Amino acid sequence: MALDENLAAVAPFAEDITYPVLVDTEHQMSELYAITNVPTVVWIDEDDRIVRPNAMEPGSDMFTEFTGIRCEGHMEQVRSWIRSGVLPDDADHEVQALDSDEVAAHLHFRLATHARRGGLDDAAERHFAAAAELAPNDFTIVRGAMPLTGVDPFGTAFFELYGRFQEAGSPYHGIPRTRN
Amino acid sequence: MTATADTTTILAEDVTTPVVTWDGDSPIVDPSHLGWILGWDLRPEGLCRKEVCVPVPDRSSLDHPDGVDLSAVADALGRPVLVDADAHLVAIGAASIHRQQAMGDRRAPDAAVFDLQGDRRQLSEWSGTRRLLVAFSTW
Repeated sequence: MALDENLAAVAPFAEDITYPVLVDTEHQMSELYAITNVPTVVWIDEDDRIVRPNAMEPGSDMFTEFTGIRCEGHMEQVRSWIRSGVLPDDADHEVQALDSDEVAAHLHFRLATHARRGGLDDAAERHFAAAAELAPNDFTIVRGAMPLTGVDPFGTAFFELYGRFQEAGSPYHGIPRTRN
Repeated sequence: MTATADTTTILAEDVTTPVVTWDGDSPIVDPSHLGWILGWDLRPEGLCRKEVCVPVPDRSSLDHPDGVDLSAVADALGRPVLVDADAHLVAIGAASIHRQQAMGDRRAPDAAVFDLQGDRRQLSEWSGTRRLLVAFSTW
């Protein structure tokens, strides 16, 4: 599920993928599941229960040098769960709900994307700024706004965000991952 | 500021564009449009979705000479609201109880998203199987 506004931009990433690829253009899922960064993986069982909540789990080791996270450990855990229903020890981690500022930030972000689409550039800019101020460590909001406001999401602005995020203690709504 | 009636974009589960009478920062809507905008109808027993009703203890808090105050209705449903009267935009978030379900009760909330063909899909379509929800992005 891509947290993106533009379906056409997502399509190239979905080529040759056999499972369903969805797009959460309104960031409704990130609000409901308190997803504040990507890639976040949630395990959901056949009875719609969240059996392992939000965790940063990359699908490859492309960024291991940067994040310190390898994908194989998670993939082995997934295999054990699917084959024999075994859950990892961290599965009962309690995810902290979004606070009222973070909830308000989602509303500002959503309003901003619609204002932008409707050509209301001043309103869009105002609401993107308000969202970033209310949730300064939420990548889905601060970094997610970069391509919509003409900022390179892989450039200086991203590294500034990453530095601030680390200084703030790498806050994340989910299972904390450490370098392994 | 005098009341003016204008088409306004309302972002809730769906995006709707009803005519809204703006009384300052209060978006006043026709009560018969609430089902369309929010999925909840105003009935004598309260705010109702199908056979489920939420009582509204202070009905007068919703009423306005030109209709009902949408912000007050959202508030009665425990849903956060953001109003931009100048831009004629209103965003209404998920009910706090809906978000708490995911965190406390570990029930996976359902939501409508798009597939790559642009069709609306419900997450509950994939109920009945073990699955991973993988949030990714192009940014």
